[in-house]
Amino acid sequence: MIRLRALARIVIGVEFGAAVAIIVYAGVHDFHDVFQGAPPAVRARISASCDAAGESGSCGASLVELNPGRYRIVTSTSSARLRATLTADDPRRARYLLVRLSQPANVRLAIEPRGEAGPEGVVGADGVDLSDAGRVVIPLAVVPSVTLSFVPMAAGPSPASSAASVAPATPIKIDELGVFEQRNGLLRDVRPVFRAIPPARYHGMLVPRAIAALCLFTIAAAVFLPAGALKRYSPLILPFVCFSLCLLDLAILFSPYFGHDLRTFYAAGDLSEPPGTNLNGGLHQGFRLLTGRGLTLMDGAVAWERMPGYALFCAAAGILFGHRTLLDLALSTVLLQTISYSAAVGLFAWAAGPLFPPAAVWAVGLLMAWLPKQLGLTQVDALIAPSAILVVAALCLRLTRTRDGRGVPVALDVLVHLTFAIWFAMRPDVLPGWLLVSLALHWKHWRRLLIPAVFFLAIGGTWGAYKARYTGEFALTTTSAGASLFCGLWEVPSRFRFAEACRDETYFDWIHQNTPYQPQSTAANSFATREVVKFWLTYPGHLVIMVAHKLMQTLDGDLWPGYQTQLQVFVFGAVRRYWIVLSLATIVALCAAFGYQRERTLLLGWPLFFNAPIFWVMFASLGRFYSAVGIALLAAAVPPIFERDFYAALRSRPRRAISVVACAALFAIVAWPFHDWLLRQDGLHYWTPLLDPAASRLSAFK
Amino acid sequence: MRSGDLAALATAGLGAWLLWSQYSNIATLSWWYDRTEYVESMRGTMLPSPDYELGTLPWKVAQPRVFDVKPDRIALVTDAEPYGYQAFASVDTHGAKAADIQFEAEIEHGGTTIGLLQAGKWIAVSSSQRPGRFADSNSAQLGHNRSITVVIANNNPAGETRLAMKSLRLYLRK
Repeated sequence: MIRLRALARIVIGVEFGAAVAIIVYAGVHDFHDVFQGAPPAVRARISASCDAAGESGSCGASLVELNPGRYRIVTSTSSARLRATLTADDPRRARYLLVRLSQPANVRLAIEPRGEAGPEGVVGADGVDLSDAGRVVIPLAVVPSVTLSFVPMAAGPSPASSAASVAPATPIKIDELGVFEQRNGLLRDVRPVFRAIPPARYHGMLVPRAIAALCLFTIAAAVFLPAGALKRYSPLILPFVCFSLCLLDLAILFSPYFGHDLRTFYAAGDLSEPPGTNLNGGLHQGFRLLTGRGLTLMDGAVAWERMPGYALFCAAAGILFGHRTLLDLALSTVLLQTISYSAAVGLFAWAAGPLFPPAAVWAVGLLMAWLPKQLGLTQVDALIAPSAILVVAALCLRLTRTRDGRGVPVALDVLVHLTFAIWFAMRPDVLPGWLLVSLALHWKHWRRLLIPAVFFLAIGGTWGAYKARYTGEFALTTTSAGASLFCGLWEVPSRFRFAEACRDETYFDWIHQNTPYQPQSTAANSFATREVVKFWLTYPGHLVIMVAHKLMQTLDGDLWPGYQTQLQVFVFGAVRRYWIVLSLATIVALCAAFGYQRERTLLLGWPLFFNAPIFWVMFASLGRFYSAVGIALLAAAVPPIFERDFYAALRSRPRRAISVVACAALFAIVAWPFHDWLLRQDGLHYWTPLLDPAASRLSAFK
Repeated sequence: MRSGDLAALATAGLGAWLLWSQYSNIATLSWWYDRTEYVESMRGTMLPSPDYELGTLPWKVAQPRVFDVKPDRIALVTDAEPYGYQAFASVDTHGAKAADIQFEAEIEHGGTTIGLLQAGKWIAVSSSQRPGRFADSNSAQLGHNRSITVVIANNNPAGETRLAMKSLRLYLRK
């Protein structure tokens, strides 16, 4: 029997190794597709011009280099024709033309050779009909250069028969244009096995679902692996597994084969818009910093709603991985975000090793890596999850010291607060939780409260002083809390006039209508905050319903924000996130009720209590700010599942255990019906027992 | 045997099954894409002789309104059953491991499903609900059952379908 058990464990070890190898390989295979978007193109010089449609006047064609030799071309106005001349540095290698049309829906492409044609190749003398359905690869004749002429066509089953005059009048947008030596890797990825399966099905469905199954298997298998080896190697293996899972997600969301690769996504999206959007604000700041123009959004303007950390992160990414253009900086930032997330998971595994059973460390680390993420988006929210993981890691180190009855050295507390400070440098929503956790940690040694205070003042003061050069006023954090409170009011259905998707412009207009202040100023921020608090007091029922509604959204899965792919749908499609969240929350409640690792559980789970509630009154933006809360729930609730003492504690007081579980089950069952009932209670919603609604500048109805 | 030992054995078994089943599923799908791509690529070239074709398949009918078989064409008007089987032909596989089917039809009205059944289950299906030319190729790995059935079924929620089968080739691969 002993030999059978040993054999089973050897088999599990081999299977575990195979599963990890497959997971890592699957993600690494996608690296080039994610960050390059296409194989190396043949270097070519390109020029473009266009003819305006009708009476539109002059027309200009702008070019963006996606990679060397791969371009995006857009006309400035509605166009009747776009011409592009491509002259390859080595015409013999220019065998295939890659085109992806974005707008209009249909064009006819005529390819006109220039110079003497070679013996091989094909030129579409009669033209090629293109649609906006995706990439097209066209064989080219070997000629010194070609002129491509794109003429809009009317949509329909036979564009060839349609007159160009009925084509929609829009600018022409060619998302990708380049010449290549081979067609391999243009329409489908080059893979050593399973080559026949189309990329959408292979990468979009089969691989992520198989990898998700393997991830779950490794969690079960880890229980049977030698504890010492798992503890030693998890911090080394998990970063690679995490990096791979990140790449798998990115390869699905930004596929060059059945979507838009990251370079095209940014070139066609936020980088073509003015500075200050969610996805380009940090990039512009970082780029300007790297080019000696300060941490500014544009000349003379600093970001009013952002802390400086993310822009500095973008600048660091540019230094590490390149910043020749803003597009290069975007890709560098996504890469560094992915590496940071993976490294944070590795640090967590190292720090949590002495605190949790090795299988629990593997499970928590893997689940952190597996969660939906926002790493493809160049905005600060992508970094909150890794920041939260670093906080968890530092707290694990501290908890290990206190568990062992050893004193906590100042250096360790400095490290703990440094992780909080990193979060604060990114986003100020950490402040209430940081303060309360600091008080909980240091209430016996209150002098150590100086550590977070110094970090706070150093970061806030530096940023405040820097901003003051441009704004003429000093603020330690952002001046957008009022805007966030304002927008947060309208995230629950109501009859109030502003109850719609909230945008900066909505807030700016409201400030302009009611005050003489600049909306980005401290004065406007204070005004908005006062008005929102007054509104809460005017309509306390609205406040109650808003908090209840957002609480339920959080429990329904918003605390794991980010874009779900089949990697996550494999689980979330089988078990609704609400039930997973409530099950984990029940474990936290059991730990608290039994006193089982109560301090550890509550400390690691602090964002559940001190961060999530902030967004129940402030702007939650469909949950995209919650990522730290989801991380905290995993760190607090998953380890007990792997600890025998947890089950022993439950068995020791079964009545209490049953009571907690019964309460959780009751809550789970009645919460949504109660929520739905509450939302229908207009009497409560619009009840004004304390203040006169006429005095509120927010109480107008539709 | 202790519960821990049983759990270890079960986990080892689960791992083996998981790794094999994932590989097997993807490999089978890859084979299918490879095969159908190959069969489709043969269309329009000098086609090898099939094991069966339109005029040599032993057709039987359910209750179509019209089923007119000629060597190079079948005219079919289905009954009003939206998804009812209309005509089928069962043939011996002679130990073949795979089957390829290639066909061309002209749908005048309604829609149709054409495919292969083995042991009562669809193993290859091609469907269209659009009038006009409907040509496709499909492949399937065969089980141990000794026969397969080519099926033409109605696929029109509104009722009757009119179509003409212009060709149908069935290849059995050892």
